[in-house]
Amino acid sequence: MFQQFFQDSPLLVWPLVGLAVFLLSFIAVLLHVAFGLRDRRKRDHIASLPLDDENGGASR
Amino acid sequence: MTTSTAAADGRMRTVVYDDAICRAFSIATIVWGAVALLLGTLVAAQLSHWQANTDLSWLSFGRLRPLHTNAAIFAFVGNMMFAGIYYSTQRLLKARMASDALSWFNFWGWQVIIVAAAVTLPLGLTQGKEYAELIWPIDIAIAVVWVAFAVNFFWTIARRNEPNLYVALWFYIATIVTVAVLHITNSLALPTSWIHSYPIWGGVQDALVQWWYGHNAVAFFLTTPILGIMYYFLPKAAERPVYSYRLSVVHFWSLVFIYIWAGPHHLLYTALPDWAQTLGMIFSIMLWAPSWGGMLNGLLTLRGAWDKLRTDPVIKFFIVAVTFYGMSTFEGPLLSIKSVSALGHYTDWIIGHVHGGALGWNGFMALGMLYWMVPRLWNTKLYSVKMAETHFWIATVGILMYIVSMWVSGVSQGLFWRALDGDGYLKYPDFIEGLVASRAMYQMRLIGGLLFFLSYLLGIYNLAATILQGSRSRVEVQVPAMATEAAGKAGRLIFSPPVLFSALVIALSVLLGVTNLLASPLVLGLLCVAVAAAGLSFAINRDRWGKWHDLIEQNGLAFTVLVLVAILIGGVVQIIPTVVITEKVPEQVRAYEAEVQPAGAEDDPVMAEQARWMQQPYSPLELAGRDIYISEGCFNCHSQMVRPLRHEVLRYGDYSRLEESLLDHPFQWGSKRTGPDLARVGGKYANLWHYLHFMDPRSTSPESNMPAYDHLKTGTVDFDVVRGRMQTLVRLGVPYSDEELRRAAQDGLSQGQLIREDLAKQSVRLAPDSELAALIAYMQRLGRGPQPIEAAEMARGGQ
Ligand code: HEC
Repeated sequence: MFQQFFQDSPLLVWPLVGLAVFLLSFIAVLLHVAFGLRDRRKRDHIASLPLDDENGGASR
Repeated sequence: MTTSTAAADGRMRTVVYDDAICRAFSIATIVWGAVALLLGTLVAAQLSHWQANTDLSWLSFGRLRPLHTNAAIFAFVGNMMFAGIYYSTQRLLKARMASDALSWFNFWGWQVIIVAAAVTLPLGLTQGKEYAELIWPIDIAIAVVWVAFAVNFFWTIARRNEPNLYVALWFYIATIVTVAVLHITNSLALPTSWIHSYPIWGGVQDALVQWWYGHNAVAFFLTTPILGIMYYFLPKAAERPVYSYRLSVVHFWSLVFIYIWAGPHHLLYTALPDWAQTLGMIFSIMLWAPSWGGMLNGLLTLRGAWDKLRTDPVIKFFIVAVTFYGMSTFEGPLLSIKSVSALGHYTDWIIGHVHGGALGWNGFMALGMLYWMVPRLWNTKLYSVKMAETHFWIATVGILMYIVSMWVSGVSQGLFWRALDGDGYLKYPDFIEGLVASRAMYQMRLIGGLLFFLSYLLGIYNLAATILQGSRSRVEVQVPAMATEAAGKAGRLIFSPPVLFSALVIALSVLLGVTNLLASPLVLGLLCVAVAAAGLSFAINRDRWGKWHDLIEQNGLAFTVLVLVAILIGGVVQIIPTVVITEKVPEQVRAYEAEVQPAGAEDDPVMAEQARWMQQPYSPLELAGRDIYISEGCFNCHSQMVRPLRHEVLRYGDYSRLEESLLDHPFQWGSKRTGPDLARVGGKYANLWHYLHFMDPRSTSPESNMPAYDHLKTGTVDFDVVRGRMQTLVRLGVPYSDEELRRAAQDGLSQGQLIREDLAKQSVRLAPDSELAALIAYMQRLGRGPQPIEAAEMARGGQ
């Protein structure tokens, strides 16, 4: 079945290449989230960016 | 003040946010929202009561439905998105928008485009592609305004005073980049005049590009910017940070990567090649995971604000919005499963699904955002919390009525259409039976929509009163100045191990593709070595691996490029093979016929089959009829794609082949069957039947809700225009000979004459060059080869 699928066109290998690239990127993001974002202070700082945006503002 | 230190050089900067632009976009949102909802209730009324089409051609369903969808998507959500983006971007970057001029160009440009749409669509000026109907000059205007917005946005990023790009901004970046790519690719067309064009894509190519666009308009116009808005405004309303920042990172990348692949789920069981359908289905199902990750992140952020739930309508709107996001993103993957699609496609179920997204997710997010932001932009409090509460409850009841009625009517349509009796024949052969059964649900939908609209009027009153009692805010903040992006960082990013490793793996994968040796031992071996080396490097130096995303986050350009790569992959691997494979088919078939047919040797069964189904060009009159079909928006109610399912073949005839519509610019496969499929309607009825039916559908089909098209009787086809259009089609690969072009007017009239004579026998008078004659000619052609025009030719003395 596999063979049959690809004999249609050699171009059809590209979706698989794309899928591989996706999986690798996904793993990379997971690694980043697991290890790169271990610093809690930094995480908290970024996460609270929406909240500290109007200090000193005139309104409120 | 802020804790960011990295790039601050100690100096403080005064920043005054441009809130005037946010106020303008907010008011535009409020106004256009009312227009979109009003149009929605009108088209809903037309489906339940055909009389609502009135006698005015420009108010008929086929023309107004695109106006409704465009108003909802581009006018309502579009303006809401700009309001939210301009408000939050300035605050997250601690910088005023880089150019006020560009901001205002964005605002006025967008409003002019909307007005242009509101004028052209009712006039029947359309490209006939759903959610991309606007004619080409407007398309160019959209591109220009979008680029102005993009320049302003990225320029602001470059001048920011906060090193880290918060996740909301990533979603905005993805929106800006992807919408540009989608819009341009799907709008590629050759103009035939200032108000008309043919897309360069034909048949299956056009179908794939269109739904790659259509689906990703949902993804990158109606979802990613709103998610960005969610990640900014939910924490604001709840007064606590997002539940999990880590989850938002995974949410973002997986969503951006996966979404772009899912387009073909709109084309399941059609003539689109199977491999593309399968890819679309798989990725759509995968999409469920990141979507729910985002939904949970939103809900859990609000969890800390349960106590405000009773007092703050904003929180209520947001909770329902996020819940609808979860519902729609569960239903979407469900509908992408082939067997579910077999039941649900073309029915009202899809309409219900779309409104869960548009009214529930987008609408409630917009309302929550407006109720939160308008008082702040006008430096006051909300005029009436009570009124907002009432708005909330009526709208919720309205939307539930809408979705339930469409679900019931959709599923029962699906069941009606497929029901077989004991002998294996259609149990309900008359299409109209399903429509009659849906009528009560159409009425309930109308009431639901009306409730939503009326409650919205309450909202307008409340917001207007808020605006009138307030005064324009002026927000000024002191922030530590940040030097512009350090160039050295880019170098560090490029040479960091993860980037080097990814580049290597991508290169090897591409090599694998180029050599087409899927099991090439050498390349596979290299890949294994690369992975092992990466593992080793990671074990030795975890820190450097962990830092790559930080570097990207702080480098707007690198981030944008990565997003672009991520979204291009999915589109490219689906569209390029389809285009390349189908591009040559008509030529190959012609070559085959020239070579083999005369000799009578059908030695190549595949080519013979292709030749059997290969579409022949339309005659001038049929082409004119087809353009009328597109301009009247018949595709909003009729499909032209018989799926290879037993009940469809029984009802409509042999299933549709890819070759049959390859010359169609644009394709007209359709997405909704309020009326029956028309792919093989040619020859099913006499000319007289079509004449009577178009003049008054109730005369032949008493329960029909199809609008009357009597105005076509007096409209005239200009065959000089038709010839020009045929010439354009020749440039797109449709094989009209010079002789055919020269004789366009003559042939057109001859064919019209045949219809005229046929009707005259039954005492009906119709001009041979009337638009109605053209439409009938097109109907009679569908599913059949070229129709004879020789009777008139014989009158001229033959060829
Ligand atoms: C509001 C939705 C709607 C629109 C718009 C619409 N139709 Fe219909 N159409 C129907 C319905 C419902 C039926 C079935 C009942 C009937 O025969 O009228 C139908 C039936 C038909 C049939 C008969 C098909 C058959 O196999 O019996 C034809 C042909 C047709 N429509 C052509 C058109 C054309 C051409 C246009 C555009 C000029 C158009 N329709 C616009 C709803 C619509």
